[in-house]
Amino acid sequence: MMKKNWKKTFVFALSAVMLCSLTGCVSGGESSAASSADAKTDNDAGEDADNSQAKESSGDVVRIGLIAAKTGVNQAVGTFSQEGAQYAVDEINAAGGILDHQIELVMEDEVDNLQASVNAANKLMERDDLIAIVGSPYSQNTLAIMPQIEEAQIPFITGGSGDAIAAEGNPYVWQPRNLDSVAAGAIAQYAHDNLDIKNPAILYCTLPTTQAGGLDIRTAYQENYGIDIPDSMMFGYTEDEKNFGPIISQVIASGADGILSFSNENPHALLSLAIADAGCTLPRVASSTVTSSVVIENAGKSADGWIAVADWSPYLGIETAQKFQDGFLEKYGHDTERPIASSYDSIYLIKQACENAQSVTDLEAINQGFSEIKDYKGVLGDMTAQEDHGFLSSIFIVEIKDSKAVMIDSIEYR
Amino acid sequence: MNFNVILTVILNGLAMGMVYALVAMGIVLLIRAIGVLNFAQGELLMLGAYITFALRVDMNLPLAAMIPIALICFGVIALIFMFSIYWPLRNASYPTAIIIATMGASIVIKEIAMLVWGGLPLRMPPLLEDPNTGGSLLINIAGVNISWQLILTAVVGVVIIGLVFFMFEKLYAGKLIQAASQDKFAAELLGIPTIVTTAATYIISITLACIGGFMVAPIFTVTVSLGTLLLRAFAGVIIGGLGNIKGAIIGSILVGLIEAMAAVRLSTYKDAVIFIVLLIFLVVRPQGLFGLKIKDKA
Repeated sequence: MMKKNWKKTFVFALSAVMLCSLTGCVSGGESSAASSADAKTDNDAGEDADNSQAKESSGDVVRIGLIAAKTGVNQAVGTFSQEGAQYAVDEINAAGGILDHQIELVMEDEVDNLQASVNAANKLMERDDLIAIVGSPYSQNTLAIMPQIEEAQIPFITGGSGDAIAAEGNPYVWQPRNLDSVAAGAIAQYAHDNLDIKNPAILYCTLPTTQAGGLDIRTAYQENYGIDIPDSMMFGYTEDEKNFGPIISQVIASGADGILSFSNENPHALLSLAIADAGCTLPRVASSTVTSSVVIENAGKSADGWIAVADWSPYLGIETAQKFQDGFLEKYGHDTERPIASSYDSIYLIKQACENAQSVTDLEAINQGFSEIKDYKGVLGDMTAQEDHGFLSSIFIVEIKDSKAVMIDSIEYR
Repeated sequence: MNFNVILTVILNGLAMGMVYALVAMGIVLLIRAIGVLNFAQGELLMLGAYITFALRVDMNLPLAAMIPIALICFGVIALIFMFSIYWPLRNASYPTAIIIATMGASIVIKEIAMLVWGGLPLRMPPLLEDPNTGGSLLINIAGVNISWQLILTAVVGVVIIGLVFFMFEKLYAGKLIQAASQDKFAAELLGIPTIVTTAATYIISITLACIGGFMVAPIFTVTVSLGTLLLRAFAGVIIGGLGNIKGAIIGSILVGLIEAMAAVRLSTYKDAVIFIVLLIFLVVRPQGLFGLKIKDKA
């Protein structure tokens, strides 16, 4: 009897807790929906027939949305994105803001899965007080919301580098990073021209964007040098692959004269360890993720010797980049990473666009302002708006020496 | 396939097979003792990696001190796991309640690990470290460089499995555990405390998984995705024969070897190869290599 009473009490308590949390969610939702509805009414009242996307500025504050992971497996990358964006916001605010308006960052958590990222993006796009959104650093997350961005008609600066984003031709999406196809072409070019790699083994992660990168390297060898890389020299693996020993062993046995890799951070760290464990000394060129602190810290000295095409490194030795790295290190106590540099430049690009448009309320004008950006010196490089909604025209080549990715060359591709 | 590749594949396959065998053995011990399939065994392997990382790297303990402390920690985790997941549901009228609870436990353990250690992979130094590279010391066998960590993983796996077998076959405590797993009621009547034997089974099972985590951590880094190794261990359990310890070990080694061989030519489809083999076994020999086929009587 007592056992049944205890069970009933437990079930009742559990139901009460669930009901309370559900009520809390609904209340929260209603209040944000109410404020959203109020904002919409205010906007409708103030609407100019010629500027359907004009927004009321909230006094001296303009708001920029940011999609980044606050929780989950990708939390560190999300923190980097947030830090980079906030660093830019603080700098700009200290200098007077955008057209005398202070900036406020509004962040939504994309956790570590596509659904959460889509939800985060939708929450931001439902707001009526944002002038732009800095999107996820993951290309697939941006691809998933392209129709919604076009419907919301809000400038969206993605941290993703996937070619599929540019191929969509979305008029509101801007990519401050080099495309994966550019990176792949640069890998092939540097490997062939500088390292004399004529028979490479190509290793790639089978996520859509990295698989495309691996195949693009093969295409580049075929089209530019007439070298056909057979299937037996193509080694794909899943993102959570851990056991690279047999793959490296086969690469060594295949007679390859170099290793070309297109992957994410975790696989690159394990690949580096496996290459060192096998005593493999083949020259190797990889995509930019090999320069991340995840790889360098986990692979240790095994990471030395990688050459990478990179959007960013804390050790580029360029004045703009060095000033950024030094200032950030002083403020946040750790080196910059690519997501930090990318989100930093994204905020400054928004500032440039607003200044070109001479507006912080007219979204169409601000979007047009992006296309007028010319010769802006970002930390990722010199930026001029291109037809494909990218900004860069060169890519850095770095080499990891003593756990530091130092610049050794750069390639101008347009 | 040349000799270098064959040697690497065999050694790699054996090493990974031993890790899967440690996990699989733990699964089978629990199935035999309490009839429960533990879906959290992979996350417990992951937890073992994190705990040994904390002891070895964060606290900088020497190996001689780290090992006994780690074993104590594994035992404590096993008891917490048993009394929070299994014990409250052991008499549940819904037979799959415990299995579902283990699924929930796997998510909880993963989230706790992320909360405590974050989502980024962490570097665990190998047992025999090369001071020049920071990686594992290498040994050259017939012209092929082999990592000592792989060799040690295989050796430790063999030793641990041997010890467990010795315990069950030769020691009185092992026979008590076997008796209690075969017939709990009869064991109770004979004065065997089944709560103690169940706890011992949990301790052994989870310690096996945690040791597996400790051994693979220097090769795979310490990350929450280590839990995915459970799938290979499950495949080993099924191929070997559900409920058969010897089968689980041999099945897991087979899975390790198949995985290593598939990675050489079919790296993109390596996982598919393993599970196609599993499907073939389920169709052709569902009782596994060493399981008994029990026919229904009309």
